[in-house]
Amino acid sequence: MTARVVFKNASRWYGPVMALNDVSFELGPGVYGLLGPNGAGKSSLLKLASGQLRPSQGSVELLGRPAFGSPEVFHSVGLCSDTDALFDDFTGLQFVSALLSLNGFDRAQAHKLATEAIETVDLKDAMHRKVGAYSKGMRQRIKLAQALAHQPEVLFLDEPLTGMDPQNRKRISDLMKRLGDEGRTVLVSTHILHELEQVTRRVLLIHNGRVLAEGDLREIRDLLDRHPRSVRIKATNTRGLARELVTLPDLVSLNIEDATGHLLAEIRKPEAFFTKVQELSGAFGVEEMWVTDENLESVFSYLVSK
Amino acid sequence: MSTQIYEQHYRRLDASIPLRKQRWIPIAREGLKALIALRAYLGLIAIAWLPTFGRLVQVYFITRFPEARRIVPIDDKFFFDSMAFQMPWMLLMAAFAGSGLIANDMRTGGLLLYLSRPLIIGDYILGKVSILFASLSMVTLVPGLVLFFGARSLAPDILGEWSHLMLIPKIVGFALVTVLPTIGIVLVMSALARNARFAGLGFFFVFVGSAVAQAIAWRATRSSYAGLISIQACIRRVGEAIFGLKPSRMTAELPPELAFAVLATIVVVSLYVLKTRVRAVEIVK
Amino acid sequence: MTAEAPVLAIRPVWPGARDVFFISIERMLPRARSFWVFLLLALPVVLGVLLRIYPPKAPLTGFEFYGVIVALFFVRNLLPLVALLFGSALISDAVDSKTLTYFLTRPVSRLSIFLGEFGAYLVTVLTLTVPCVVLTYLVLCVGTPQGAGFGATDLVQDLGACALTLFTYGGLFALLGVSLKKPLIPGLLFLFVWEGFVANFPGDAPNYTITAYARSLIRHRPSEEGLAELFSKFFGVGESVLVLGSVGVISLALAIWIFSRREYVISS
Repeated sequence: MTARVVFKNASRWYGPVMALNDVSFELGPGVYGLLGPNGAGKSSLLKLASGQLRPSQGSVELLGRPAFGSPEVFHSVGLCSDTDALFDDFTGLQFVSALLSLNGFDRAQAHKLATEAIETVDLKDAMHRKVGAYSKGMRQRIKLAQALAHQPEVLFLDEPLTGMDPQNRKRISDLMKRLGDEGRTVLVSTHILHELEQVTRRVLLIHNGRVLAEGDLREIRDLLDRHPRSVRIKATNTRGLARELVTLPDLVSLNIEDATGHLLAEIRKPEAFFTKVQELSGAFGVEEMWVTDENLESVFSYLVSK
Repeated sequence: MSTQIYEQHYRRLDASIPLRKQRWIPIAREGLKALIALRAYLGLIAIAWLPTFGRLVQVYFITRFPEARRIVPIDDKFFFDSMAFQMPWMLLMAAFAGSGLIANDMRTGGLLLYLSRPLIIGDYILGKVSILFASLSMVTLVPGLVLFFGARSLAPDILGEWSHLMLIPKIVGFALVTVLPTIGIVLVMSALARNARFAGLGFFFVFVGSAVAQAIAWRATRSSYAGLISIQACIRRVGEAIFGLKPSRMTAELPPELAFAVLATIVVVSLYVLKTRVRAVEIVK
Repeated sequence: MTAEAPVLAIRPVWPGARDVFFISIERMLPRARSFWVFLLLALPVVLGVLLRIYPPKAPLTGFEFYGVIVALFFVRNLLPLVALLFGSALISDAVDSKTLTYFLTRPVSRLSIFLGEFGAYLVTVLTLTVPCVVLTYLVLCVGTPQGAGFGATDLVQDLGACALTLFTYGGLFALLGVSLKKPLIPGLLFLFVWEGFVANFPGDAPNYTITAYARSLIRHRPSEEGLAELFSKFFGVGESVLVLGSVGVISLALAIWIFSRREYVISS
């Protein structure tokens, strides 16, 4: 895999404030989620990756060249920033075409590519209207269009779904997946956790300027052996089931929830537990069983709390 | 919970909580606090006060060397010149403190935050006017009064009579004539430009452009009425009338009432423009 | 249609600057502020029309009066303010509006970006200024005893003087704009304190002002009045062009150097 974005011991500070602290990772083709709370360093990381800032220490490479001071890489890099700033006096088509001209496309090519990009984000009906008259979601989509129009290999998307209705969120999420499947590198920074999970399982978890974890979400979860899994079981004979399960050696805790009557278990080795529950399911009327914390939010909350 | 559909009858709004009085005060207070936190603001005030201290030193020397009174008499003209000398600092302060007052709110949508509180556009404008009035008074009215009371205490033999207290309303009057039209113009620029830099420069364009136009018109016509084009000339002419001084060469025949009418018109028109222009919602076509 | 995979090379300076120019001119010229500046610059035209309708008693010919306007109104006062308005906003406007990111994340060099923006500035200010100067000349000179042909050469030279004034001050304020976060007050202090007073000091002090060289270019300039009459210093045309051109070029070079190295932290 050829890494397109490479951070090597990169740090960035603003005066006494450390925004990014000794961060190292590589990104190849595919979609990656950048996840972190406010002030974690996500924006700084994206700015470093997209060459808007230089690292205070270490290096950041984009397509094999230093990200800062190499504007030539932007032939193949697109950025959709989080700022709501556009050329309000331009129409949507003019806006995207104008920026394509900066990439070296002639007028006809720029017009064609701009129209295609605008169609991709479902703004064709509004492309002759001034951007200043767009709604928030439309502004977000036209920003995305300008990032995609020149068909870059690498895309940086900072909160791309902000302000979009559910239909467009689905459309853009599918687009991001498609771009990843086409072999492009897409780094998405977002707070909308469940939608990020629908787009990718590869995440970069960042907090206080440090990368807490990176890789497949499930693998990250599996590595967290010290953190017990939470399982919820719905059964007709909850108490009888509890009496049987309490003897398991890897069981950390067992509770019966008053409100629902469900059984809540915390376990270290889920496979053995699931096997046991399966054996007992007929005798105690097990109707449903599910893991409650194998998702981005719980993994992240756990890591951040450490 | 069962689903319900509600009948939508006309409901009369019957607000029972009256608006508080002096709603503009928090706007003025917070605006001034934000300005005072800026070193540049305090620096500008400090520099603007230097001429006043210079004049107080001048008064002190005059008390020590009475012969100097013939060269630099401490009379109405002394105070008029002192206040007139503050005009450039007042213009700088107006541009610095006033150009972004409304422009920034309209550009960032902050105006909506104000209007989502129980206050009206008039309170907002009054609050902004108060911020500027306090700021500009710090470089015009206050130095003028400090100079008067300082000179009176340093030279009681020159300024100790009760009749000299008439200088106080003259100083206040001239300060008002200087400050109010300036506030009107800078706030109008701020409301129209939506960008603090352009508002500040537009404000200077109006002042400088009108003064230069007056100079050109006077060169061509040698008519004092050319002074009506220039805001600074009108302010100066009214000030000369307030202090009972001989008018300057370029506006010798300009009636001060006419100059005052121009300034009053500026204030009224400014208020009208602010009332119509300051809106929370803008329709983009 | 898929675009071919591009070669990763920075775009040449002038094509990049040209494309930045077209975007910037579209954003600079047809704006409300350009309209208001044009109206202000057109004030002498109105004044000229009034003077033709109501001829004054003062014995100034139309051409002499035109000279007063060019020297006093345009070159000495309004054009430096116009340069401050547009020149200082070259990059800082894009930073304030948070649109600079769009230029910085395209394969154009910072040199191209700056040159394109400055080119747009020059075209904008000249578009606003030239018609006003020409109209003022026509209004004041056509149909007068001296005639419109009189001083036509001076008109062309005056337009050159206005252009050079705008270039020099524009370069200087562009440098101010990239160096300082808030260039307005320092710019105004420079114009009104340094250029306004020092240019009329006796001795060599005017040698260090721009306005002294700029007004020297107006060969048919009117006689000064007041203190300026006593202390005004004038230079030769060649010397003035050289100094103004050098100041403009050096300012631009410095501005480009600073802009090329600066990081812009633009965030919501």
